[in-house]
Amino acid sequence: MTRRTTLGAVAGVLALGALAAARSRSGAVPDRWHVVTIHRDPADVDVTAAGRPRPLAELGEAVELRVSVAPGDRGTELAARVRPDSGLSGSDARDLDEHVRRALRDTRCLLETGEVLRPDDLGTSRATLTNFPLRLALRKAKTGGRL
Amino acid sequence: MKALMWEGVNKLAVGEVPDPRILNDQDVIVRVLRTVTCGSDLHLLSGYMPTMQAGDVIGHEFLGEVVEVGPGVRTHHVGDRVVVCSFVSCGRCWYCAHGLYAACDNGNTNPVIGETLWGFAPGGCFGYSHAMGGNAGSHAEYVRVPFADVGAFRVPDGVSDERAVFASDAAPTGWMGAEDGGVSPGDVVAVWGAGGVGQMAARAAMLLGAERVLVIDRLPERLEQVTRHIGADVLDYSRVDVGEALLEATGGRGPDVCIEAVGMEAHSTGPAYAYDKAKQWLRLQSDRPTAVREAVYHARKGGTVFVLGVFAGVVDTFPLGAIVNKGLTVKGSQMHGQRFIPRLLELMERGELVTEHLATHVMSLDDGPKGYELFKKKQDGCVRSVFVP
Repeated sequence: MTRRTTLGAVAGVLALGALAAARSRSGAVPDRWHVVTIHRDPADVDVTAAGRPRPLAELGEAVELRVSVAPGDRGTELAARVRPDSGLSGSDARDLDEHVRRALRDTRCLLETGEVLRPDDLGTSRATLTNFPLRLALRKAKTGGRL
Repeated sequence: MKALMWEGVNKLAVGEVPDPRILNDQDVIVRVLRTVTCGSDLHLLSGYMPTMQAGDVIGHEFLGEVVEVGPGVRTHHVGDRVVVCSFVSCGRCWYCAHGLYAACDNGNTNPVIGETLWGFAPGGCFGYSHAMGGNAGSHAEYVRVPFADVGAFRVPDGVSDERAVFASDAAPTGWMGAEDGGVSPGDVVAVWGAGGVGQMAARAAMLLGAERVLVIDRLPERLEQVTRHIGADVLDYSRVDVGEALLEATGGRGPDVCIEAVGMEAHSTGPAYAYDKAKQWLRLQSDRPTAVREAVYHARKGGTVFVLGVFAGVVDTFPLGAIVNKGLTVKGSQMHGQRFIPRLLELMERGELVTEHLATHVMSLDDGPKGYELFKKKQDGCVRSVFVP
């Protein structure tokens, strides 16, 4: 029973890892706008070159930004994408595209809470064969996903 | 420090891990005084939540003493006795601002898993797998608490550790099922599951004015606790036909609100249970929704079903027709504890909400694996094992 359960868990993790990886690949469309809604007034979301939050500033000039008012009481929509005329392509464009996701998530956290939440790392989680797909998925903890 | 770690399917071990440290300005470090087993942990143990890594520290329901405070913390000081909500939430995103703390946009540092599995990521949770942020758990001597001003609550002097610790998760989860399920005076409420969360849901329904509350389970020691400590009626599903009993109890209408407090490893009787168990074992469905099905089936027309139990993925043979044709409202959520904990602590202080009886087995953290064995197999009348690090 234990062995079967373990195998089942492995299958589940494999499926999860494969799905995450597939999502990540399929999401890497260089000219797609990635958008987060920030629960702050548009005046608080400064994307000028001089005033943009650090996670956005670190993206450099190859990324364009767009800010708009979110409907209702939702705050501000912040969108970002790799500029179609950036000259980047292939893995360079995909890498930057992934950094865009991270930057948007971190910017939202920074503007809403005043800091970017850091993950715990007690250093006790161990790499095993069965958690390999999970570790693969976690490499894209913030850079992957549907954002 | 000492901690209880997940080492693999049905394998736990106590070992040494590094002490946690302040990583964000809004963190505090808590010395854990009490930390509790939760039914949802059993899904981690059984391997039904395949987002664990060997060496992960588990545990999410706890109380302790603040021993270190980050420079951005405003409301807590060293020496404060606090109960900490099991969910990590920022308190300032749109979801938190609307009381939906478990859906926090900023509490989960691994959003990729939640977005992939469920469309959007929930907030973070202590010790509940990398899908919930990979936060270190509370079955340890110390734990880091992010966004401490939002998730940690000072415990009134008149409330004991043994009572207050359940304000971390079981009590607010149960309360959410009743309040967000819309329980109002005159309602008849049925609760599936007489564990800690089910008992708290039943008590919450009574405090919110329900005319009658019935709790359904098969374990005599749990049903006895419901009768003795909660004051609700009980139905032993191994002895009575639940459907007939609910019809009789509600004048033939069915319960106004049905609260499911069982989760993905539900037990039952009859062929449906065997079917679910076989499909889950073969990984053809991730969860056993037996109690949810019953709740949906037995709810009155126009009634509400609230799913409190933890479910991870997909289920089979779901009675969608009953939802449509009876006009049901079906809700579910992880726990928005920050919304309820202050009120629950007040109720605990006034003696209107008692929880100590849930802690049937209190033991050292060194006995963590044994505590989970008792809890998982429901041996020796175990309702909850509580560890004292």
